[in-house]
Amino acid sequence: MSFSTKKKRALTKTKYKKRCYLFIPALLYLKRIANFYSVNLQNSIKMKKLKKVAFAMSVVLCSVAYLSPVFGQDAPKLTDPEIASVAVVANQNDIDFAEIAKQKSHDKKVLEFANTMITDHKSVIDLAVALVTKLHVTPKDNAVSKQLLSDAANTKKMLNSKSAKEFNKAYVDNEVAYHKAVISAVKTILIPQSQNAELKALLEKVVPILEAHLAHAEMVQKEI
Amino acid sequence: MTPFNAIKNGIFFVIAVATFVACNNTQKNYTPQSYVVEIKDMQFQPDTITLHKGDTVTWINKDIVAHNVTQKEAAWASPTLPSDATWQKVIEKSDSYYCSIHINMKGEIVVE
Repeated sequence: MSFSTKKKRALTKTKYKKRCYLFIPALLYLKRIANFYSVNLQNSIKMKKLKKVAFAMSVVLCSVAYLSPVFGQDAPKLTDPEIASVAVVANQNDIDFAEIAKQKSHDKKVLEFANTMITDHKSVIDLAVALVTKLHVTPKDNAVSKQLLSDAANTKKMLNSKSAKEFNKAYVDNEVAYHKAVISAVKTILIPQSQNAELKALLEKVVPILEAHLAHAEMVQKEI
Repeated sequence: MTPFNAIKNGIFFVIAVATFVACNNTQKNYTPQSYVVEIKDMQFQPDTITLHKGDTVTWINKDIVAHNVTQKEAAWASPTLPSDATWQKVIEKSDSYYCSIHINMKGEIVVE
């Protein structure tokens, strides 16, 4: 092979190498574009699912958020008449949510759960009223009970705005969050702060009921 | 029949009759027992009860909310039991039951 041929081949190799060096960034760039479109495509396919998850998350977060200022880190100081008022309002709220469920849901499990909520919370209210009557105590409105009422009004508005299809999940998610918040409040605020032994005993009896409701709600949540 | 076979059959007959009589007497002499299941803190306490056929179980609701006692396939069920109400049943066979108002509350009856 002549020197000129060798030189020609060496030059050609260098040329190809240079071309390759140019192609590699171009290929990487194309790969990035392809990834971008692929991710976007996947996102668009998953969008509906994500919307549903976001909706459920927002319901839960709103429910937790509306109780957290009330039952948050700065535990409010409550007297027995105020505790009685909070107990009655908290129970009545859940009855009101269940009444909406009875109007809007056609799901057997949701309706059974709602009926249980109405029966049980009515029993607790009846006992609370009987106790305060016996003790000659008048339940006293306070910042906590007022906040609970106001937040419940927003929840009722939210539940009423849902379509039949969306309602079951919104209702049950709210029930899970609501019972978690109320259990925590009863255990950490209402029981420790109640002065009257009978009121304290009543609140202690309510805890397993609320825990059973939470377990029931979580069961329904998994099934719908 | 050989004398040996006749003796053998006779012994068998005597044993069979004695066993029958013994079993029959045991059955007749058994006094059905009564058991109590408390419904307390949203649980059946005890949640499993072991007894003999013919024994009676009394459920008593010590909770502040109403409950019931429902066989798992609804073959039998108590009425709704308000607070402090009781309900009795003579047990014929092993069964699982629950409270149809609070579906997480479950109990078991084991007949020995």
